[in-house]
Amino acid sequence: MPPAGTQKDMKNKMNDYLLNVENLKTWFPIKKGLLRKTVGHVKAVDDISFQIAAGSTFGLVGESGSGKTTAARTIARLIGATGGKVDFNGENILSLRQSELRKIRKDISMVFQDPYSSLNPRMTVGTIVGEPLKIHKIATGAELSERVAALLEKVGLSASHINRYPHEFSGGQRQRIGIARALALEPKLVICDEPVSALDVSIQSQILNLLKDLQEQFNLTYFFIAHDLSVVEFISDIVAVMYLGKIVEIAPSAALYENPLHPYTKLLLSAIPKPVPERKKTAVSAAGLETELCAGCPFYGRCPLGDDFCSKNAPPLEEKASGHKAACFKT
Amino acid sequence: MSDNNILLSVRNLSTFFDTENGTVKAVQDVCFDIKNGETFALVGESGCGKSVTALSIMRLVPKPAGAIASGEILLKSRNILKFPEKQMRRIRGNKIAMIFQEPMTSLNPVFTIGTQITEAISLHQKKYGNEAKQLAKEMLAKVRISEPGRRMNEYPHQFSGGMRQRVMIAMAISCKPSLLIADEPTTALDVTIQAQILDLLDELQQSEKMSILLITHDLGIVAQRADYVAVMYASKIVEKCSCVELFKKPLHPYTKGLLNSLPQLGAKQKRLNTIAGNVPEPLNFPSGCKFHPRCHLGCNDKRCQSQEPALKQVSENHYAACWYAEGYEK
Repeated sequence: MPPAGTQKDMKNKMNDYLLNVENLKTWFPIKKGLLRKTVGHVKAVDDISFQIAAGSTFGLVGESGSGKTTAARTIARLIGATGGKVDFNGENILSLRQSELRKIRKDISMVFQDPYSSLNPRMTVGTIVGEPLKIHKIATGAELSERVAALLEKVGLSASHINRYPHEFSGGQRQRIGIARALALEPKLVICDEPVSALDVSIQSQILNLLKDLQEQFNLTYFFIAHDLSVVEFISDIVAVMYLGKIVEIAPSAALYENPLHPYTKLLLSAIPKPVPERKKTAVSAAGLETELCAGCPFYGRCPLGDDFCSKNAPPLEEKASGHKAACFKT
Repeated sequence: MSDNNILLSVRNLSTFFDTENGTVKAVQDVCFDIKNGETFALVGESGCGKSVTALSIMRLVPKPAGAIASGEILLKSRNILKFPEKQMRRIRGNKIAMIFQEPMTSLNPVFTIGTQITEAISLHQKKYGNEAKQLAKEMLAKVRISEPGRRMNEYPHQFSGGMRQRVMIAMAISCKPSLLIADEPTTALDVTIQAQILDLLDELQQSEKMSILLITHDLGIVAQRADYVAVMYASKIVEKCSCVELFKKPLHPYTKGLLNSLPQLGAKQKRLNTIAGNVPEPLNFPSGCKFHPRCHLGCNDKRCQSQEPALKQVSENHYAACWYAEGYEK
């Protein structure tokens, strides 16, 4: 670590981050009764902070319902945030007005999980990929079709596919179309929400390699969501693990896999069936099923290490080693 | 083969579907044996015919479009394809039970969990009323659902995905089947829940002494749970051997490709190995070996392009369908 710099240095360092999320909260109200009174909140995303450096990949893992997708959608302003700050390129996205948002939308694009439902079946591939260019008035006519053809070739499809419909393509090819659409506006940040989990193994590796190639070629920054830890490890520089709306561990990819600190991360890693033939009992069954929230640590009910103190106090996300943070009293 | 230890024997099974655009040959010439008490895994990518194989064994191929074109399915040496429908209904559930991928859609949302399990019990075991209810409660306890008495009166939407899969398993094993077909039982579940369900199946297999036909695309699950494996590609079995052998010495280029393309934990790979191209459409399978357009060995080989290799024994207990496989008799 260099010695503490001046304030100016600090500011420069901040600017290296393309995205800086601070204390982001997305709560959904639970309404009951005739008057639809709010009786409580589902804290889908509860006070998460992280930074993504330009040109890097930030991986977010967690089980279903942990709030990964809500976090991504909040950052893209597809869902309103309850609190916090999202600095993108030095601008707080959450305070932008609708008219100003359009400018930002050009720089942030998304690739979705299901290549079957994320493409309009009544539009041709050319229209799908060209639509962002049209909406942002970047290209029309011959130029538009030229650019669409170039995009399709970039993602490994052929320019002759331009007039075909989505149903004529396989799952992997459709995901390529989705990626071409996401790249159309030359975005700075691409949010990939489980882009390979609906694909077959042999196709999954093709798409992951493609995403890596494109990143090198266009200096893209990825916000990559997945539930498959081996996929996240392969593609990410920094990985954060989410559990019930909170980040419980965040570390450089190699450190997280070599030396997981949080019991939940350890549990996740031990639960992955490894392609090595050996019958073994996982330790997972022993862990309780309890997911009910207590006042303390969200993982308390399933944690093998939890004690009374854990059930009453919420552990803060603390730096345990250089660049490696975990929210657990027991590490 | 008249091995007493063999529970189910599938012989040259072919299942075809008639569509507007021609006949889809979903399963062709599939052969395998499942021994008593073992877990047999059928692996392959979407559309390779693994689920249709399972449906054929249950004789649940959707009619009239689909039909079993040829072959035999011997359950304890009796060909169940010859059974009249009435007799087949007694086999389903009692002898062969099945659980599906989607625990969300395989339970009826308007009936309580208890009603649905007791219905299965009453239909197959002729036990009614309190006796059936008691049995259902025991089954729920067996699959580790806490407070089964109270849970019986709840509806499927009050259960999480993992719990619903447990209910499906409870229903499937309530009649003590000798074969449980599990069609991607954990694909829709989180990894930790997946591990719990697989552990549960393991335990039940030991206590109930049943065989499991495990259908999956996840080679990790195969490695840890299967005794014997068959790899399917484009409607046919391309390799068949014991689980240990498959991971130690895969022979078919497709199996090798699948194993190589998995991202490995802690491996720090720069790039993943891939299998080029796409899974072929069942309506226009390539000529010769169906894998040749994606195969680095076969893409320029005349024989691979024109002649399809049959599944042949290459060493003791190892079968492969590839002209290039070590020990393959040409």
